[in-house]
Amino acid sequence: MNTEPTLFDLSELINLSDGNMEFVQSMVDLFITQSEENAELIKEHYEKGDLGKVKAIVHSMKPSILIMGIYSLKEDISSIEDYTRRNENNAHLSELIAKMEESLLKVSQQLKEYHVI
Amino acid sequence: MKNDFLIFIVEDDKWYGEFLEHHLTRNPDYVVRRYMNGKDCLANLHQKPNVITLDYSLPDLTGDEVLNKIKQFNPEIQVVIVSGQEDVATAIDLLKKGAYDYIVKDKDTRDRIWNVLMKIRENQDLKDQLEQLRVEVAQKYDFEKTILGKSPVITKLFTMIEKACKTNITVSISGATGTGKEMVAKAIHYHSTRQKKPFIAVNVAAIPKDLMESELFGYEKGSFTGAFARKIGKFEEATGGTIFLDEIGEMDLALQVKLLRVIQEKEVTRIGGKDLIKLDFRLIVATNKNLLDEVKKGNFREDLYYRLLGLPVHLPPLRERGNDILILAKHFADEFCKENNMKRFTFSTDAKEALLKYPYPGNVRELKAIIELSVVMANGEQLTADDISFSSVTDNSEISLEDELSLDEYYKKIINAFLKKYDNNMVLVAKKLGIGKSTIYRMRQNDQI
Repeated sequence: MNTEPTLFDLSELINLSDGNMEFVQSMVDLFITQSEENAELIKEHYEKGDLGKVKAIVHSMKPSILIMGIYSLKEDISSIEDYTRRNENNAHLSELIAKMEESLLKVSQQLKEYHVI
Repeated sequence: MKNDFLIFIVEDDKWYGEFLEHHLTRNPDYVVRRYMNGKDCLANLHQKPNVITLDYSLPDLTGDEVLNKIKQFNPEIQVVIVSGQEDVATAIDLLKKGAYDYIVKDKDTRDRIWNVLMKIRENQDLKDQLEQLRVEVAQKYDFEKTILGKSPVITKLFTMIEKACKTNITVSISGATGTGKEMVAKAIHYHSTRQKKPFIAVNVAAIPKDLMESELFGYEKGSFTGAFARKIGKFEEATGGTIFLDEIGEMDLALQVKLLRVIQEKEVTRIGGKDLIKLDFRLIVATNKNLLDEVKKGNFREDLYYRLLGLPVHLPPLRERGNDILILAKHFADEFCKENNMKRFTFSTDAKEALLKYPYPGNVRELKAIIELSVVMANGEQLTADDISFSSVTDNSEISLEDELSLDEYYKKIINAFLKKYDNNMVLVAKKLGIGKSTIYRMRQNDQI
């Protein structure tokens, strides 16, 4: 049995989807694909030193993170945005990005194992 | 509500774009197209979207840039900014630049966008209805429907009116009562470049003299007893459009001075105000008086007369329009029958003769009343002379030179007409006619009147 805490909460998505579980499933599937892509892109752009692109990706993820109930990432995203807005590339930013990449991949894995319908 | 309300969603995050699109397409009247960057959206504006929901942070262009370009292309497209940032200053700035609303991406965004779209759609429907009404009004005042006739005087009138429509020149319409002065004024307005702006009509004779200034020029709150709030005047109401001053010959001399200044300077100060307000109007005036005679009598200012002259349009009395009487009679009969679900009438030869013979002191308005009554009273499918009653709609005291009476007979007829009009008040009638009241008493006693 997997004892890791669930990193997401679909209740808001289900509520906003008016109980349309097929739609919820399609959004979960899309999130999985997108978060894996985003994790890759964030790492790639950070390694190139392109903080502007890191900021853009992180910013665009905010609404989906919120609606998918991935509350653990909320503060980290805000912090990454702040650093990248100020063009501050420091150790803390590096940690946050690594943590975000790991979290996104974990969430993605958990969602794959979760059955909506 | 009309169908097919086209909405563009401009959102670079695929997940969120999908989410919004799903919700918006739940309304079967909404057609939704999604774009992931500003350039693709701009390249498709020719599809004429009604609304664009625009993510403020796009990969290629800023939300500002896209908003500006949309508004340059078509200011009627409503743009709703959807942003991850709760930034009041940015929101205000965007609203000033023409954004309809600024919505932050959170759990309530879906409902907020839904409500905004409903409001936009309601406003759009109202605008469309208003535009349709404008078209209908313009059609109603189409020349060929407004001024019927083929007589030389009317053909010449059409030419003058067409010239009036092409510019903003002041038009002065003269003509007896019932000749259609307001119809002509409206026809000019609704065929001019100002047709989408207001047409404000003011009947100078109908407004008490002491209220005329405040009506025309407006007033500030507290400027006089009873001025509980600011009120803009008719000239301001007509901004961009036309102001029609009917019965201009009745205007008080003191007010004529003020009117002259407003017309010349195209600016006004409201009563009790300090600010000079710039005006943008086209002026049309009308009168059934001979203004030049009024100038000579000292009742009308000469400088104002020449200022108002502009393009003079004279509406001839109906009796000078010959066969136009029959054209108008048929038109009024047909219109009345259509409105009252009646079968159309034809006119007998004797009916036509009777209509052509009558002098119509009330002009076109009187003809309309005569025809409508005749249609009501007629039997069968043809209007005959017996169906047409001139006396029941006209005053029995009508005096026509065509009767060729003696001077004494005209004298008695005139006195009788005035006694009827003023309820047999001999003192008042004597005063009105400038004769001694004893004259009237004596004529009464001798059964002369």
